[in-house]
Amino acid sequence: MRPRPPTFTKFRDVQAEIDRSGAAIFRDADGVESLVIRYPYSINYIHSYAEDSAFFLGLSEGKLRGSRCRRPKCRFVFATPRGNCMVCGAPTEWVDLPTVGRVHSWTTCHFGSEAFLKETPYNLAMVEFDGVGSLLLVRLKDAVESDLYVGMPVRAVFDPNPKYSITDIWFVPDR
Amino acid sequence: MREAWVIGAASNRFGKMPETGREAATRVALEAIRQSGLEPKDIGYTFVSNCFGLTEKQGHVGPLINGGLGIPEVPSCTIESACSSSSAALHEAFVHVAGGFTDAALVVGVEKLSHLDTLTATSYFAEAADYAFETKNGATFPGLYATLANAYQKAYPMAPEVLGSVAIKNHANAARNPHAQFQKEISMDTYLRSPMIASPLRLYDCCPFSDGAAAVVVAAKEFVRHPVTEPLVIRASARSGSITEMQDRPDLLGLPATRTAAEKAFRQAGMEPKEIDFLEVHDCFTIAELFALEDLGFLPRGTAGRAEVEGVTARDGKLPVNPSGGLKAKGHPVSATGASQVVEIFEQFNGLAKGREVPRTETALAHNVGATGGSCSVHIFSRR
Ligand SMILES: CC(C)(COP(=O)(O)OP(=O)(O)OC[C@H]1O[C@@H](n2cnc3c(N)ncnc32)[C@H](O)[C@@H]1OP(=O)(O)O)[C@@H](O)C(=O)NCCC(=O)NCCS
Ligand SMILES: [Zn+2]
Repeated sequence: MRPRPPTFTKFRDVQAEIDRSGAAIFRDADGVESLVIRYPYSINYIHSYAEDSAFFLGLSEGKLRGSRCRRPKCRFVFATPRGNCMVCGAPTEWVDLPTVGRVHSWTTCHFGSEAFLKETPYNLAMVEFDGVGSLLLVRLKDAVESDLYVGMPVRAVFDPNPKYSITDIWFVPDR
Repeated sequence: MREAWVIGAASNRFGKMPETGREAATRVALEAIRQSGLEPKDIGYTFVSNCFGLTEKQGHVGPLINGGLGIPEVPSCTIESACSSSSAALHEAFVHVAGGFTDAALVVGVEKLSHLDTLTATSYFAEAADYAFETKNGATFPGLYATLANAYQKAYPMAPEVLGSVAIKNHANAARNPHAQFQKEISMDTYLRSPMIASPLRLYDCCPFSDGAAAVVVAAKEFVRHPVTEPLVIRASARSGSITEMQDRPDLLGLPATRTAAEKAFRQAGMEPKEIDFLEVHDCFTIAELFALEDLGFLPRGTAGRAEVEGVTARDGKLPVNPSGGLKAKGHPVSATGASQVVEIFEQFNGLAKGREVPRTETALAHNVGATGGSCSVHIFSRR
C-alpha cells in the first residue's frame, strides 16, 4: 500500500514532486487527473567515425584535413570531409587544408545544449579558406560578440589533449 | 491521377499536454475523421509522424493510434523528415489517394516534449543536425539559423525591428487562435528587451518547444459523394531536398530546398505566386519567414523585411502570412507542425478561423521545412 500522491494543476509542480518522491497527480483544466511518474532513459553510444576517421585522427596530430574530388574535371575541395563529392558524386581523397581563413558568418550562443551550457556565451563561425569550395563550422574563442564580423581573419588552434571530437579544433582571431 | 481533397483537419491546443503522444494523436484523429463526415472504417491507410516519440519510449505508434480508432487492421507507418515530418506524411497520403491505392488516408502528426527540460530538448533537437560536425561543436538550431541570419544581414543590412515585426505580427495572429501556445500580443519594446539566444536571434525570434497534435483526412474526390465541409483541393504536393549541412551550400542567403520545392509545386498546380491568397510558412525563427517569402518566389531577394515592416504580410495585408501565428507563436510541436498548417488553411476555407479571418480564401500555400533546409514540402490548395 502507498498513499495517493499529491495533486497539482501546474506541470512544473508535478515535475518538482517527481524529483522529490517519484510520483504526482496532474489535474488538467477539464479536471481530468493523471498519475505521472519518471522513466529514466540513458544510452552510451559506441560510434564509428568510419570514412571520417582520418579527419579526427588528423586533429589529434595537429592537422586539418579536408576532401578533394578525384574526378579531374571537378576537383571540388570540401572543408568538412566528404567521402564522396557532393557536386558530382565521385570518390574524394584527403588534402591538408590551410589553418588560416576568414569568418563567412557567425553567431554568439547565449544558450546551448547540456555539453556547452557552461561555456555560454560561446561563438560559432563558418570559416572560409582560400582554394576551398565549402565552409567549416567551428567554435571561435578569444573573441567577444562585439569583435566579430564577416571577413574577420582567423587561425586554427588544436587541443593539446585531443578527445577525437570536432571540439579538438577551434579558431581564434588571427591578429 | 485522381483529384485528392482534404476533407477534415483538427488540432489540439499547442503547449503542454498532459496525455501521452499517442492518446493526443488518437483524439485529434477522431475529431478530423468526424468532421470529414467519414467513419474510421473508411480510412485505408494511416501515416503518422512522431520524430521524438522515442523520448516517450514509444515507437511504432501507428498501430496504437489505429487501435484507439477501432481500426486495428488498417495499415500504418511512421514518416520522419525532421520538422517537415507531417507534411511529408501528407505527401504520402496524397500519393496513395491520387494514385488510386487508397480512397481515404489519415495523416497524424504528434509530439510530446514537455516531459523534457529545455536543456534536454535542445540536445535532442540538435541531433537533427550533423551530429559529429555540428551538434558536437555546440551547434543548436537557434545557433544555426542565427548564422544564416548574420550572413543575410551582411548582404541585406536590416535593423533589429525588422525581425521584431515578424514576431509581433505572428504573436498578434496567435492571440486570436485557440490552438496557439502563446495567445498574447507582444510589443516592439518587449521584443527588443527579450534576451539574446543566439545573436542576432532573441527569445521572441524563436519558436518555443511545444507539445501538440494535428490530423488531416485526405480522400479521393470520387469517394466523397457529399462533402460536409468545404474541401481543400490539393493542387500541388511537392517535396525537395538540399545539402543539409549549411557549410557545404553555395550560399547562406536562404534555403535552396524551398526554391526547388516551390518551383515543382507551382509547375504541378499550373499556378503562379500572385494567384495565392495567403500562406502558412515555416517560421521556426523570424529570419526563416523572410527566407520563405523570398525562396518561394513571392518577393525578390532582400526585400521580405521591408514587406513585413510595411504590413504586407499582416492578416489584412495584401499577402497574409501565418494567420495561425506560425511556428513562432502558435508553437512548433515538430511532427505536428506540417499538419497544423493545413488545419489553419482548412479553418480559413471553412469559416472556422473566427476573429483571424484573412480577406480572400480561394487559394493557399503551406510551406514546411525539415531542420535547416535538408528537406522541404510545399502544398498548394484551392477551393473546388
Ligand atoms: C528560446 C528557448 C531557448 C527558450 O527556452 P527557455 O529559456 O527554457 O524558456 P522557458 O521554457 O524557461 O520559458 C520562459 C518563459 O518564456 C516563454 N517562452 C519560452 N520560449 C518562448 C518563445 N520561443 N517565444 C516566446 N516566449 C517563450 C515561456 O512561456 C515562459 O514564460 P512564462 O515564464 O510566462 O511561463 C527555447 O524555446 C528554444 O530553444 N526554442 C527553439 C526551439 C527549436 O530549436 N526548435 C526547432 C526549430 S528548427
Ligand atoms: Zn566532384
